[in-house]
Amino acid sequence: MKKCLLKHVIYMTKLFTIAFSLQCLSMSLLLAWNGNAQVKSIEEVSVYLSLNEVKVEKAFKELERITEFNFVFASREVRESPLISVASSGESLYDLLVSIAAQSNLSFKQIDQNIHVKKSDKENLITVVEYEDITIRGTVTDNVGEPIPGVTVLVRGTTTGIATGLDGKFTLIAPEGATLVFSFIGFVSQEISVGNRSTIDVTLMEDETSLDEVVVVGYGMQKKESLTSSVATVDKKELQESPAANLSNMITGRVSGVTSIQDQGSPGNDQSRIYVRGMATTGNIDPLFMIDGVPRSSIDFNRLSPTEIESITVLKDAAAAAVYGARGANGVILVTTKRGAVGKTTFSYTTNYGLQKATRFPDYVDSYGYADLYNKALENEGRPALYSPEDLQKFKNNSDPILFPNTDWFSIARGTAPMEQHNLSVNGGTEKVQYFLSFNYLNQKSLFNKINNQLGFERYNFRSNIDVKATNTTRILVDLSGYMGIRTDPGSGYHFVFENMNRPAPVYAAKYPNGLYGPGYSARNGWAAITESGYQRNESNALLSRFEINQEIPLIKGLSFKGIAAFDYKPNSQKNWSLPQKIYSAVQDGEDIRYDQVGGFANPTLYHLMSNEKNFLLEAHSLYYRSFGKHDVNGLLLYSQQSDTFESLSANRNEFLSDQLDIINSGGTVNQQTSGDANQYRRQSIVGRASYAYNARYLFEFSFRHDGSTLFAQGKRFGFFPALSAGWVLSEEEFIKKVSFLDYFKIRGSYGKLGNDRINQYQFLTFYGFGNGVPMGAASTYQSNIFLNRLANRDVTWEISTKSNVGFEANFTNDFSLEADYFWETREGILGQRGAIIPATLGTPNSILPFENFQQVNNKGFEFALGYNKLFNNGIGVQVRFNFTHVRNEVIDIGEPDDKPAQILQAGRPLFPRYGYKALGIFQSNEEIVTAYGDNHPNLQPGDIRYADLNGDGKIDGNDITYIGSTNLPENIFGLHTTINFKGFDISMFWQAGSGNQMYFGNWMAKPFNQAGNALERHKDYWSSENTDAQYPRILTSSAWNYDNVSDFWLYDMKYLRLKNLQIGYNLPKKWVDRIKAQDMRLYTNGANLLTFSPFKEIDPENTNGNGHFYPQQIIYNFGAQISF
Amino acid sequence: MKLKKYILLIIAAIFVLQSCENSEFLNTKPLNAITEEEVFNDPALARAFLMTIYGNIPKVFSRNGGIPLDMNARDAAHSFPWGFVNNLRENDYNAANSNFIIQDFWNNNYVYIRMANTFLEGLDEAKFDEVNKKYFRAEARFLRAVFYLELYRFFNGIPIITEAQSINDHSAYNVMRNTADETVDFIVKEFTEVVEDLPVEWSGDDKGRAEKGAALGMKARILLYAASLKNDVNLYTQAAEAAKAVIDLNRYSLYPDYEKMFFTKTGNNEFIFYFNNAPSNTPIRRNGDWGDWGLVNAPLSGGAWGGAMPSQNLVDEFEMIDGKLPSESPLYNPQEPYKDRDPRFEASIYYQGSTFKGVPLDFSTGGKDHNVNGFTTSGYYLKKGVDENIPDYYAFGSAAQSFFDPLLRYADVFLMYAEAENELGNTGEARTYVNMVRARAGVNMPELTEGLSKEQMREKIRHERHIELNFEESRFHDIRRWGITKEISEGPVWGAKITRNNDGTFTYDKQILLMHNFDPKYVLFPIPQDEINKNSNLEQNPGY
Repeated sequence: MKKCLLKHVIYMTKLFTIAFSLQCLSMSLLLAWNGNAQVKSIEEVSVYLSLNEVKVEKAFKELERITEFNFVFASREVRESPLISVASSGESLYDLLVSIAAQSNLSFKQIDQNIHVKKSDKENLITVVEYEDITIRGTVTDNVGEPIPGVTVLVRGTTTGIATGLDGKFTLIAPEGATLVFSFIGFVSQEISVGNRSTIDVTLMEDETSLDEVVVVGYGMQKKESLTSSVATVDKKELQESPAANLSNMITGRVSGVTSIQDQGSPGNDQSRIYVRGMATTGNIDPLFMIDGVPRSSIDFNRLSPTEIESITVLKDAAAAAVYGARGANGVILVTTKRGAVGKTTFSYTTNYGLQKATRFPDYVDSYGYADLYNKALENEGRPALYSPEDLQKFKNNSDPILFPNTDWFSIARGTAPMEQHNLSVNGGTEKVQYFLSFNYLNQKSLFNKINNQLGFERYNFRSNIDVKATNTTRILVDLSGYMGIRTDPGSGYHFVFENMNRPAPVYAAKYPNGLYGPGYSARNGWAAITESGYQRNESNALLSRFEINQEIPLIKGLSFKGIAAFDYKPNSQKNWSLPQKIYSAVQDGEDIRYDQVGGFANPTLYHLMSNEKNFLLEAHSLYYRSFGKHDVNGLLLYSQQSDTFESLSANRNEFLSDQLDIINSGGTVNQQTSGDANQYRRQSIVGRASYAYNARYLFEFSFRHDGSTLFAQGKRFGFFPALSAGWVLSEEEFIKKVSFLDYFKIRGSYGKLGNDRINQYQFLTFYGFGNGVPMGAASTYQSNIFLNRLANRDVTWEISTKSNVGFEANFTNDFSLEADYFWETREGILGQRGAIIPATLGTPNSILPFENFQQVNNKGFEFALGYNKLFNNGIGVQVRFNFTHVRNEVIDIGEPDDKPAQILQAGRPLFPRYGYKALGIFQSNEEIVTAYGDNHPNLQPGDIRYADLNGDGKIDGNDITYIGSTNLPENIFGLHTTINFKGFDISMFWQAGSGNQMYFGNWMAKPFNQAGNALERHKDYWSSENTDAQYPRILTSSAWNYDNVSDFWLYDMKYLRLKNLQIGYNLPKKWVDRIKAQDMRLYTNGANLLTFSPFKEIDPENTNGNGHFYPQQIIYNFGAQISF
Repeated sequence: MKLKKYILLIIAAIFVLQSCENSEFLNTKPLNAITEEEVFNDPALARAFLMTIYGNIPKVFSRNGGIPLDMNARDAAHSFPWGFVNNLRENDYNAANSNFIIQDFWNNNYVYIRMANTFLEGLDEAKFDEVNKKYFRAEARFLRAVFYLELYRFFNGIPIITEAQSINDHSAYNVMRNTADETVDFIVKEFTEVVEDLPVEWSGDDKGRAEKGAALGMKARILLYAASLKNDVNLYTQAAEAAKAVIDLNRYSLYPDYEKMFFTKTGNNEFIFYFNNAPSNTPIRRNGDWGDWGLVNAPLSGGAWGGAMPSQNLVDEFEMIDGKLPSESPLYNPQEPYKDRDPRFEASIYYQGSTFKGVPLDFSTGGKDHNVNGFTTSGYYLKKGVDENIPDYYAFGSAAQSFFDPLLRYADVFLMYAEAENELGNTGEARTYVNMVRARAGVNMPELTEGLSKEQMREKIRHERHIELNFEESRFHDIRRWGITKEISEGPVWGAKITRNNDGTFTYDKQILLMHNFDPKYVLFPIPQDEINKNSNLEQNPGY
């Protein structure tokens, strides 16, 4: 449910008018006011009247004339009443009405001066309700606190009503004790009993099942009801429930069809990779990001603040994405930002303060555990112990922290790191000019904040969206936005930091009591890297602009033109200031301890890269929309051209004299280096779409894009990407209308062709690049060298995706909605290299082998989204949305040699397969080994992993390697979102789960002491003759059969369930808010990744590293407040 | 209605403009690269292409991740018990799991051969002067022959490919191996033919490019290799002639400092063909520079990895200064085993009590260089080619190794000449040249005794090659061409076990570090199974 306020206004006007006219047509409006008169009960009023054989209407008219009462009735209520006769000479009106009721099957109900007439319900023929009219005022807002204009407020059972103004306010005179009905398209209607209140503020819940929802689609908007393609929208309110700093981390699981993986969590670099309906290519899998109709980068998307977003739409099938042609195959994510609305200027300020914490860390042994385990491993190898009993004792009681330390390498990362966010937005406008302004600041510190507070991420965003109504038919839109994102990582990078917190054993000192850094593993100390290694500062900045002129053509009804120019400028910089990390090793020197420096001898170096990117887009749109009776016709034709250029310049100097000044100029000139790069890219396209609907029942749509770009050789440049779709609204058919519980039911299908051209430039040319130089000559200098970059592929072209989709949408019993889709895709012409087929004798390694369009992958799956929306009479509103996506790909052709053994064939298996041995548990005895392999593997011992001898030759070798699993991308994604509103309180919860994903732990996470590394707590459960039921094989200090061979022993199921978000909010009561002259105030607390359940406990299930050498994903606890004036 | 027409016209115009494949808007060219055509229009660019090929010549010290091939001849153990080290020292490689380094030997040399072929084909079309073209062509052929020589020694006969084959030409996928003889003939022919076009000496920025001496020396190497395998007089004669031709150029001389010749910043006249890894502006270690000889092999206590550990087997081969082996010499004192040894020992190996960066090394049990952390230790570290002037072997951005990587040294030419002459019966001539090597300034080892038989002289020459060319990848190939791989490669690798006595002296014992297996197939590397899978015409080497 995404509508900008302007749209609200337009729709309000239109729809409210229609609704009112309809009411007028079907009811007799008998409204009369007599506000000053004292209202009397019908029992107190005497009447003198005599009528014979008249219609009841006639009687009512007469009574109205002689009394102060008005009769209110619908004509159909009285149409069938027989003629009546009355004679009254001073009896009460009550008695007279009793007489009429007896003759006419009507019943009466007095409400103040009105007497409502209805068909009799046989029981209460006449009811007298005696109330006074009161004036009721109030404001209607949505649950974000924004006023909703145009809400119909009706007194229940009457035609008395009014619509709210632009500020959402209404004033209404209604009888005391009446019930008000608030209704607005797109929201759940709400009934509120007035009691004797004079102020009624109402929060309307958006109706997720609404059919009148308008959805942003490619190059336009469409009513959800008439959609024939598969799109999903992310609720903007839901986005605001997440305190995550990166937009990409907020959307997974919220709608069906979207999967994502967040590899790691370092501030500013913690984005998720987003997959729309899985992955169907070995190439680039990123969806296309369109922000306000302009193609923009994933960084532009990631850097957006949720507070500036009006809607996010995901285009999933061919029909939805065909308008994006050669870029549409991976799905499209459309973002629309907020715009201003006519009305009083509203200032809204939001502040958030949060604490972040790592989701998980591996559990390593302590130094005693390590030494003990190491000795045992040596013993297994038949070698003497390394640590003497005295050493062990010292580790155990920590009596010598210098030479026998007990280092918990993760201790410095276990705390919390603060994060804050502030947002100020201004919204308002006049009929002529409307504006939305927004400023946002984010400061996210790193987990190491306490020892190095430079680390982290800062982001500044601004946006100014202005709409000008230049003439009655011309609208001008001027949108400017920008961001600055400054990410500061340690000079060594986080990978180094975490590698050297994971690898070093606890027996190495991280930091000596005198403050010197210890040796870590091989003179690499993760702690020292945090504070001593300098910094890597990445600045991504952007100024994004968009100008639009929208002109209706008065002569041709329904035709309008639109011209768009967008210019983005992105100056970026990367500055790596590397300082030597001074590391020491404590050595016993006689009685004393001597600290030898063992690392950090080099001088500071600086690498500085500055680059800029300019993107330019020009578009001319013509749009046509017309209704002819039952026929709705919609057309779009546009021309688009895009031109992007990129330039960079970098410099490197080392031998800095001092670490005090970090600019290039202060470095040594010996061996200084400069480098540069440039690139350009252009695209030209025609896009069209035509849709036709008959009677809002049969829907057809055709769309296409004719796309050309500089990526391809002349003659191969242009491609045509069409899509067809159709829908049938069955619920409009008479035979379905009888099914009472079904409110709406539509089936739809689509078929089309899309491309994926996210490939390297100029692959159709053979070209040469410059190398780093080859040292030669009497003076031994680097001499320029060039090398062949890549052999040309003249025929290189885009991947072709053929997508089909069938689905249905249904709403039933008012409260439920269900949308389900089955989709399948064939992705052909994926670029691949024939390295597996072309022999090495040709001398064409993959580094120069051209990419050719020969690979094929199929991808299919299904998804559904179930919604439930209910506002209970007691004021509790409940919204539940559940979605599920299953998607699986299958390699058809990836360029494998014909004689490749079936068990390691990729074809027929999912992308990015993993091969290894099948592990059959652990050998318990020598007999078992001999039975399995004879004497082919004499070095094997009980406690070793038993691998399946697939070919039965008694030998484990390359021929026994088989497919064991695939990637860490879940095949199934679940999302469950629940919101409960009650009296200003709201609580929402978002659970997300993934399954069908695996992770292979080959190195440090699998092997104790791997490359002189650490051991995990769980490694203590190793096989020995006393512990034959162990989880792990016999322990060794060096790599061996058990640990070196890739097998499914080390492949773990990474399915997970996590409480992605939880939010509890409270909207302060109006009277408190009024006291400080605010419009509304809200307090809330929310969190991200609060709970995670998964079978593998030591690493976040979304990681892709497998060694723990990454900045962990974050749990965030956040508190926020919002106030608007 | 006028307006309507106008609009339709615009739309039509856009379509016409757009659908044209010749759209000017889309006609762009790369902003950051040179097209193939441009390369061969400009001798400077062509030279830059040639430089890339020079950059890929086989390196002795800086390839294989800093792991010396001569380990296979039991000259060293290694502290990395994984990967290629295991394969090499334990003679444990096979075609299916052949280590990536063996795969690299095969794959990469063909990559470089293709570069040379592409370059040669480009030259045919080149639009610049004939003088440059003549040199370029000769150099490219020379380099190509060097890569073939490399392949030949590891794999024997290999497919000889002299054109940049099209990846769409399926017949190229099914090439056959040429015979060993064809391969040798081809390499010899190439070296012979390019000698004429190469200059005697390059100077200035060109110093280091292939000269006549390089082609003649390499020619001697391939001929001697084939001659010793086949015991062929004719080949020995040709080898002797080629080696003598190098000497007769009077272009080269022995460098007067055995240790320092690898570190002369501006080159020296002993190095005939080499990879110049000693740029005057100190190279910087970058991410990815892992296979650095110094980082891998310099002592652990010096901030490096202490990889290769020379064996007692090799140490025992270094003569005493009286020209006798320690086992025979009266000068040898087991309490001070490293005293009075051939100076080339001091120059090649770090031993108990020698210094690294001025700090004495202590390999004795419990000493700071006694590596106990799960690895074996031999009591020695490798010194040859290890640059001590590196502040931090590990840190990126720190200075990297700076040395000359010896592909062909003048001393080798002397020894090749001596060997060929001896095999032809000219023992006296052989003795002269061996003595010249022994007489290098700073080495000054006694002359060989006169009157040695051909067989005795053969042993002396073999011994001299072992010592003079230790860790320069000579031993690995020599034992193969002499047919003594089994004797040399199989058996225990010994290390020194050094114990510190209470009086501060040391006791030296021997200990077995590991045992080498052997199988006759290991004289050649297997052709990677992957390649045989791709091209069934490729015949695997025997035994694999």
